[in-house]
Amino acid sequence: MLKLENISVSYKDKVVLDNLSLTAESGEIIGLVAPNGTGKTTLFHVISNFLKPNNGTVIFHDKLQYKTERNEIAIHKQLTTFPEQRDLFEELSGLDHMKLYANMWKGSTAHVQKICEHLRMEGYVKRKVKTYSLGMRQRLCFAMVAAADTPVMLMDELMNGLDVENVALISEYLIQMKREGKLIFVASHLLSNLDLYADRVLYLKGGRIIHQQDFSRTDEKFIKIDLSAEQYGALKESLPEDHLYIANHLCCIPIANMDEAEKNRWITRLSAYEDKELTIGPLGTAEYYEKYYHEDGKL
Amino acid sequence: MFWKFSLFEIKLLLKNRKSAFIALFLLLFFPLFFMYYSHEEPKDLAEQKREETQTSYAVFYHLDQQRHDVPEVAEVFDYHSQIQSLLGMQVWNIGSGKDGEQYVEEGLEINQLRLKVHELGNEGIPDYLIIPKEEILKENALLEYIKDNNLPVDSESFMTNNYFADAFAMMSGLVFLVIILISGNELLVYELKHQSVMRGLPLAFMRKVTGKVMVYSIFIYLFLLLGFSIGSLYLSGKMEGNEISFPILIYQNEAYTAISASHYLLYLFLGMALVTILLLLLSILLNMLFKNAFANILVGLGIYLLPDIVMAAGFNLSFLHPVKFIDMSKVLSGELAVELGNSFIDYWNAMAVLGGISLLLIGVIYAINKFDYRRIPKDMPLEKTF
Repeated sequence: MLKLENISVSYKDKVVLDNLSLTAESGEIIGLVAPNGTGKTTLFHVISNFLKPNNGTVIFHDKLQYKTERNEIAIHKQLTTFPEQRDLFEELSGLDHMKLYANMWKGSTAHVQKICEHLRMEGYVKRKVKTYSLGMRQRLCFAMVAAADTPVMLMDELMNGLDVENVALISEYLIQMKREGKLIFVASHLLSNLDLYADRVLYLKGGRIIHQQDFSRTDEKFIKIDLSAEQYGALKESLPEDHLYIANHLCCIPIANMDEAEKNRWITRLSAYEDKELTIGPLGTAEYYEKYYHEDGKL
Repeated sequence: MFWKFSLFEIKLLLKNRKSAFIALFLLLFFPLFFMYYSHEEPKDLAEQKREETQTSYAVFYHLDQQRHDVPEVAEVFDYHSQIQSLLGMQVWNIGSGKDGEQYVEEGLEINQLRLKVHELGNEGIPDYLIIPKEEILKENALLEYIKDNNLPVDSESFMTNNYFADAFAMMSGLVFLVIILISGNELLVYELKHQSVMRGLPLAFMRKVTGKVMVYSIFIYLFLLLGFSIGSLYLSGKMEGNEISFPILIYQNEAYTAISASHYLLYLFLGMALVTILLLLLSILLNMLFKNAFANILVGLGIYLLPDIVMAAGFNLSFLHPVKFIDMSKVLSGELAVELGNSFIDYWNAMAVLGGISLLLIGVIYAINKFDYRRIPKDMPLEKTF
């Protein structure tokens, strides 16, 4: 559905995206993870043609490219970007904003009421935006994209300013949209939340995708335990070669190639660290984040 | 999508305080103008004619001193004697005689004699007492119209027409330019403040521009019409004469012609509609080029004042004249043609030129937008602004 080919964006000496390629299909939620200023927003801007890259092509449905304004409109009819809170019109109501997006993309506002109910916005949606709290504004931004109801959605900083209840509410909505066949990109700093709904998470560093975490793969399981540097030092010699020691605290031992006896042996051995929590499972987004962005002290 | 977008623009316009102030100004301008001027005691026609007779006596004084020595002055003196007699008859006919038809006939005769005096080079008449040829032609056109349409010469409708013309003389030109420049200074620029909301809308740039120009021109025009209607209503309540069949002078085909007030207002409002569209298109272009609301006003004003500055420096560049055509009142009255020394400037010529400039502006806006899509990034990525 969406293909990025060799996208490069650079400003003088600063490379933001470096020959980045990516393919995404409908019915997928793709998480995008990276510290601030490392190209997440730039990537979204390239996908939506707000930024023409130095090199590379964005292709929709194997044929549509941003070559003419006509093509851009044809693509934009299928794509919405998540608005920023500060860009909302203070004097307009939330409903006005939602109606704009519903009208411009769907040509109708019939579904807006349902979205308000679903996102529990009925209590304030008719009030002017200038009276909204941070969380209300963020929900409105999400509701606008939901009102546009396009096949592709780019959601930057989606969960900013939301409380736990609203994070859950929007996560649930995202899962529902995925079921409807939407392709959704989510850039979020709420890492563990991505584990709930993302099909894969892309880690950006140095302008490239340095790792793609695929949640559909079940063969990447680890025994995970928090160890101090001394504890790890004492254990290191006996650990398998492909083990990971993430951000100087998390020791991960891969179990994909172990038989049951060996697994049990490691569990028993690590159980000796009584004050430490021992878990078995794939690495989560937060763990990968630490692996790629904290390990070398570069944030 | 176009109509839905236009409806959204209307919503933004209605929520904007700036628009409310502009609407208020347009609504109040004409009523306040008419209110102020209608309190002034106007000179009636008999009084005007009496003043004219007095001035004419002063001319006699100068002619009498030279007519025995200079034969051309003697000829002028003869003509002037006839003028003086006719002026006396006019005062009688407008007063006790109560014969409007005769008054008009005498007026037309006076004008012919005055034109003959002009042909003789106004010999013996000091400059400050010479009646300009334009004034004679204007008066003649007015009297011809009164004669052809069999109108009473002393109706208050003449006064009402003067109020209309004076009000538009004040409103059109600089005032109207400033109103539109302020109104349109954020036509595109406001989208920069709401970029992540507005940038991705699936609508072609030219359609977006069309929607904006349409909404803003209708808004300005509607309140202009409303304000004028309220002012006219006030005037009709205040004065007896408010018949729009009475004449107003315009400059056309290098001559002065009298047309009915209704005709004049139609011309003027048509002209102001075109000027509104043109200035909004200019605002769009300035928004695209400078991406700054203040620049729109400053550059727009700078362009308007450029011909005056150039003229003050001693140059009269005719290619700059079209800039001044936006002052429709001056174009219609012929004042602009006299001011710029360009007899070409009349209503239809100005309309044709302004229409041409509007098309040119559309072309430039279209070309800049097209060019943005054709640009290929080299050292830096290219960011889409609107």
